[in-house]
Amino acid sequence: MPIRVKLDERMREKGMSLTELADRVGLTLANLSILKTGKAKAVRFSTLEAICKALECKPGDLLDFDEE
Amino acid sequence: MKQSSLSLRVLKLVLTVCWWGSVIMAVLVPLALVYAASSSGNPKSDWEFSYTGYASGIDTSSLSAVDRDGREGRVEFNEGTWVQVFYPIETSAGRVKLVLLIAVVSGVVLAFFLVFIKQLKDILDTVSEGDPFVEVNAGRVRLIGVLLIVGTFGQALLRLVVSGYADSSLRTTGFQLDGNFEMNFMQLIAGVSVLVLSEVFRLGTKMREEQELTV
Repeated sequence: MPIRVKLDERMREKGMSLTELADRVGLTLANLSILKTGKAKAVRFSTLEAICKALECKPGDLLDFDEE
Repeated sequence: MKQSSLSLRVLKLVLTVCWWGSVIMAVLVPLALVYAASSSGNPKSDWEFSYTGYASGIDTSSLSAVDRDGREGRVEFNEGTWVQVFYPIETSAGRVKLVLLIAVVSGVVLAFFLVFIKQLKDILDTVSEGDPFVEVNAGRVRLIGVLLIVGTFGQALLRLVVSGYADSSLRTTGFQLDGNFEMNFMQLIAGVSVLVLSEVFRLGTKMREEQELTV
């Protein structure tokens, strides 16, 4: 999929672990891992909003489009 | 989630019986044919070969039916009917030919049936495991639909070939033989319906996958 989730980079910038982010966002570690590894097929606006709040960023900072 | 409802257990039992019945037939039929072929030299055995044809225009003048008032009615066949015409097989070569013909036809029918039952068994196994909505099952349902449709056409074609062969081989008196292409439309509709359901199933499994991978 050409949409790439840049969760890793944002988490590194904020020095936040996946477990910590999962706690803050209210997602299971398994679901957040699906998002982080690029296996997710869709993201809910509510999830995106919660992640943006936790990582203090905008949706555009989390998503990238790599044309294949 | 493990399912063990009565209907599921009954279905599993029925399919298991069908499966092992077919497997046993697949073993016994060749053995019976080998035995038949080996005893084909026995002059005492009465071997017969039958032509199967589709008869119409049957002369019913010798047939009669009398009602309770003693009146004699005219007998007619509404439409044609399947008939068999038997001939004795006297040579060993003819018997071996018949055995080979039976071997080929029963082999194809058994293989067809085994593949069909295997798909149903595999689908039921996924139901028992609690997760039947997987893409591989959509493929299995589609294969069942294809087998039903192919079976319908195969059966009709076989009937046409068999009745056409009888028509071209026999000279008849009192009735006439014709090639007959008789298709089981209910079976065809069932096959098409199963194909439609398989597409619904395929889309359903995709939707579920997307739903599961929505974060």
